[in-house]
Amino acid sequence: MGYRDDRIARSTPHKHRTQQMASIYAVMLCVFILLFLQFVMLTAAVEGYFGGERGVILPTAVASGICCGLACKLIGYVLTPR
Amino acid sequence: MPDSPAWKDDFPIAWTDDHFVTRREFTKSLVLVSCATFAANAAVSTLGVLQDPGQQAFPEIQVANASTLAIGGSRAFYYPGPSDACLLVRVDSERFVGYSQSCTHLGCPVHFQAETRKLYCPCHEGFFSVEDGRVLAGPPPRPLRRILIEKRGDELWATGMIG
Repeated sequence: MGYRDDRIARSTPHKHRTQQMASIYAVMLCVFILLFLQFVMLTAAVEGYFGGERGVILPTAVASGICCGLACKLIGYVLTPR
Repeated sequence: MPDSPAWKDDFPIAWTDDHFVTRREFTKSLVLVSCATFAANAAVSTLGVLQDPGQQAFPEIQVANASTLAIGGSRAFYYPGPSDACLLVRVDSERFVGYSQSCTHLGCPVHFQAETRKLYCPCHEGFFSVEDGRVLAGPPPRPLRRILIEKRGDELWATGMIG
């Protein structure tokens, strides 16, 4: 095995690991954003509930459910062994 | 002399792997928080549907006698529940209006100012019109909830709520 092949053989696991780390960071960022959106929607729902604007409550719950589903899908992507 | 210290044999997790697992676990806990937030939102939504004021039947309660209230005078009463403070105002000889006493900003009790003919919230200087409860000044975002007042002879009855 030459010097170049040896370098490639040693760098491939490192590269794979770097890609994994990048994907986990990307998923974490997406989940953070989704969670932030959910907090905004929960705040709007509570304000609508106490303020008598009942029309906003149901759409926020639906949107929050979609965000939760996306977050679950993303975590499934990270946890699935490859 | 051994190559690595003894503690590395006892805890054989590399520093990078340890952090890798922690990040993964942290993301999992974020998703759990996301599920909890959705559950809270669904609970608020369910409460909102169950307590929809459009479906709520309001009781009819006698709140005062017209002859005992002077023009420009006001009186507190409770409607629809015993803890829901409201304000009855005699605007002129034949006109009586009722509003929830809870300010739509942060829930402070509003008072009637006879000299300015406005409903006034002293907490953050909010003003409402006595004619229809709309916001005239200050931070309140919505008009006051209005109580339907019906005159039956000399008696004044609260029969419902708007808003």
